[in-house]
Amino acid sequence: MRRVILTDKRWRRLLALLMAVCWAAPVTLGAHADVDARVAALDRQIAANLRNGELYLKRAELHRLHQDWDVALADYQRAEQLTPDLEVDFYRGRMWLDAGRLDLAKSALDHFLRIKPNHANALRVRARVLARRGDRLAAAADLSKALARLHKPTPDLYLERAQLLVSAGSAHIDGALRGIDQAIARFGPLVTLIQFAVDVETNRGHHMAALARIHTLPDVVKQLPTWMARRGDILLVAGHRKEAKVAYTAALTAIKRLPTQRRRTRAVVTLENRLRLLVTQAAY
Amino acid sequence: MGIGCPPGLSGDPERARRRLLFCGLLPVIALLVAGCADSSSSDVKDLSDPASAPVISLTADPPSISANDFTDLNWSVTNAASCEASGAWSGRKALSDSETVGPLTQTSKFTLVCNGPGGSAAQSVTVTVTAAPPPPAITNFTPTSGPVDTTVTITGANFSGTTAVAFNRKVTSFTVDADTRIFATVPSGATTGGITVTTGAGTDTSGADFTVTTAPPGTKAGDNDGDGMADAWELAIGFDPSDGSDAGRDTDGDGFSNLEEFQAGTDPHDATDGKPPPQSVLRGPYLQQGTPTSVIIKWRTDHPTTSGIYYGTAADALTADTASDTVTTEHELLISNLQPDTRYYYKVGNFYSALVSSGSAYPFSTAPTPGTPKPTRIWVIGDSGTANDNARAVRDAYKGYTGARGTDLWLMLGDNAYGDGTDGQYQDAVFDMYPELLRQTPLWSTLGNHDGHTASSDTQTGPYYDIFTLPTNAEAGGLASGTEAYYSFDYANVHFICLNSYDIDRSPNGAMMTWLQNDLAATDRQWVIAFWHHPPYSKGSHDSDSESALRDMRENALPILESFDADLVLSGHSHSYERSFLIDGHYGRSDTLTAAMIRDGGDGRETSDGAYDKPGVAGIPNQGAIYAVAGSSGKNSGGPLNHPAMFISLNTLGSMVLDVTGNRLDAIFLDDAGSVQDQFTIIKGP
Repeated sequence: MRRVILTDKRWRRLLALLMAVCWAAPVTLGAHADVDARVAALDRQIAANLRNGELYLKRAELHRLHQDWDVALADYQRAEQLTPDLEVDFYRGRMWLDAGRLDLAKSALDHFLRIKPNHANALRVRARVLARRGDRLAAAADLSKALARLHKPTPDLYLERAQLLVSAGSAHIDGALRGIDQAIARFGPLVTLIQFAVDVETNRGHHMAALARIHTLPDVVKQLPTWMARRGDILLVAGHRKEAKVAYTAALTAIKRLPTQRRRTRAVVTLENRLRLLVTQAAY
Repeated sequence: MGIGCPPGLSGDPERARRRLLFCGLLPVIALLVAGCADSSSSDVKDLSDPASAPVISLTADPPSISANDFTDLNWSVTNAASCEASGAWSGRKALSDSETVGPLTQTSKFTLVCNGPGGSAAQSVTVTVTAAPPPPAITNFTPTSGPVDTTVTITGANFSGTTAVAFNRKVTSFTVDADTRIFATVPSGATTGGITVTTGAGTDTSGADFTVTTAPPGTKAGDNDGDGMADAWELAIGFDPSDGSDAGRDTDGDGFSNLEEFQAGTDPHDATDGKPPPQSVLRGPYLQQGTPTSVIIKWRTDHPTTSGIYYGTAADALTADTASDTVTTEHELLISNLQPDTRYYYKVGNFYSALVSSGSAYPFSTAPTPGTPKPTRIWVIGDSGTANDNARAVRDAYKGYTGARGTDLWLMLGDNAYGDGTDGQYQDAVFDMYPELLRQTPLWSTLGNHDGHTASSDTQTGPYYDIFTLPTNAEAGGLASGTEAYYSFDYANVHFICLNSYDIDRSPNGAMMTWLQNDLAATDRQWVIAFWHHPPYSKGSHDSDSESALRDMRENALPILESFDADLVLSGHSHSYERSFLIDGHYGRSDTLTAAMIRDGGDGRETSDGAYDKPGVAGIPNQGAIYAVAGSSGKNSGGPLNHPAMFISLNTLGSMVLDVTGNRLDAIFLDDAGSVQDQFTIIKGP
């Protein structure tokens, strides 16, 4: 084994000094140095324009990225004093969430949303605050409001809401799945959405519903060995042993049809070994 | 630490000083707050007055909702010591608070009973739950066929509040004209199939299919009366899209016909807006989402206008076109029905002609048919967004290196525009830096932390998401992710995977990792190259042992990628070049790397230790991957540069160049002076 560590020629003479600085500095020197440089630039702008609230808000956001909560807070307050319409409570709430101060985050966002109840980003951030406080239903409600107001919501947000509802208890599983269906209507049968629904249906013992969900996957996904095997797993748990064996055998056949290179990947080899065991050893 | 002082981090004296200053002020703030509390002491005395009963204010916002929706209850109480909820809610409540309740399925009464020294009081609010609105119902649509951009009138019922209209699941723009009528445009990429209308109450799909046809070259879609003015524009300004005679009229009497106003992008009802100056292209054109049969072209003009692209297989014979009637400065058109692996030429313009200022036609090539092992050159730059001489030197070094060979596609590894990824910074660091390559070669990007300062992957908003049009629905291969934050695409025999390491759930069971697992299972391309911003292994200006984003990607993405035998992982963030041995199964801190994890500890060079060989032998299911940090395309920031997984670590400006030919991948690190500072080769088995 050989290892090469080279440095730019221009820096060779300074190598020893640079190395000393690097070893002595915090591990995130580069990141912090970048933020520090930008803070310094804003310091100069603020010094030249002490009444500009936007500059304080920009500097506060940099301090937030730097996790300098106290200094950020001071800049947020100054920004708010100078320019009251800067939506500072939203930024302040987001900072408190980053800092793990959930009560303060909720308070700031509650205040902000009382004034701007349709602010989708604030609703989304408050949902995460509420979720971390364990108030899953309220978090899901905030996400619902945010989703209704977003121009381009993502399937990830729909999944986040569904996960909150499922974790809130069995009474909310149907609601979670209705939300997933809304997402499927909007985005099409994404594998992420359907896999979630399959998992939920399987976990609550609704095996036929889980199989029906698998049936809605795009053909290119449904015909993957992994999904054929998943179908077999559900059939087996549901007591349909013969059908399970057929599914497992079909999965093995699909594996054999894969290009050699893909067939030899660790994931496929592991799956193939498991399927062989299931087909040959399980009592059907 | 003072009262309420936030928990801080250690190690930085300046930060500690600031924190001490702040914490020292907290007791003062606390005293001030206490003083404020004292000033209201008279209210406290009133509370103890036995004659004062509790006073409750309880409201619902909104007081009326649809079935299965939520509402906020807000209340404040004076003269009380405690409150209890009853009716549709329960439990002890604070004297002033708010609470979200729902989902409600029926009209519900919420009561708050409060007790104090002056007695008890109750207040109720009733939340009216109306039946869910009826679902949409499509009864007809016209025309029943047409090319992309055709305006389709959909008739039916319950269309108010429509949230989405789709042609065979391809979502499009639309206008709800009335509860019974929607105007929708056949979107780029739509295929023949049913039309779907979605409202909050449900979804309906037309019984008959809408047939998507190919517009003959030289014709414009969405102009049913053939008068030269687009249907959508005519509808928007109150003209009749079935009246072919209105194009020649001068409605506002300013000397320009309605057709001329349409072509110029001016208002035909405003006699004062005159004729606009000639259009100029301020940004681009640039290529996105190149596939074997299509490409998206985007550009910005100085004045709002319609959009057109004129193209053909010879620079002097642009015989085909595609156009949009939408008046905008931010132009985006998809050219489809192209031939794979074919060279085309194009000009941008408006609905009727190419812009004179667009100069000569620009060339571009479509991707080969997926799976075809065509020699492919890929340029890779990371953290390139400095817009300075460093970036220019790296660019020019590559330009000199590749010469007439050209580039098939290029990747940006994030932090494309410092410091915050604003639109202006993108103009300087991307559009003004690489205009030639942008015009000719599709660019694919991942989000960096600096891009993320002004963009949100949750909401798909911000300059990054405005500038890039990335696949959400497997438009260029791979599996649909539904989001531009992470996606995949194919080029020749390579499967590319772009992940988001900054502002998306990186957990093992999160949406992105679930998608990754399925996407990898579905590909049968020979090569797998993944890229994202935060490196799984680095000891440069960032440390993969201590930073959460880097650690998450290593622990959660790498096991999935390696289980499917990914070949190369590219990232940036550290402003250096670091390139690993051929390794497998290293998911811990740098000090947990073992010899067994190093599949090949050589340099990967055919002229010395030999290429990295991945023979695909049965029984050896994973052959290892190479991990490269290429984040020095705009600046170099040093660091220890001693990660044990790395064969080589350089504090040098530069970029990577990948050449994939059949079962062979050659990679180099090209410095800013045009010298090759590292090279390696991977050879794959059958």
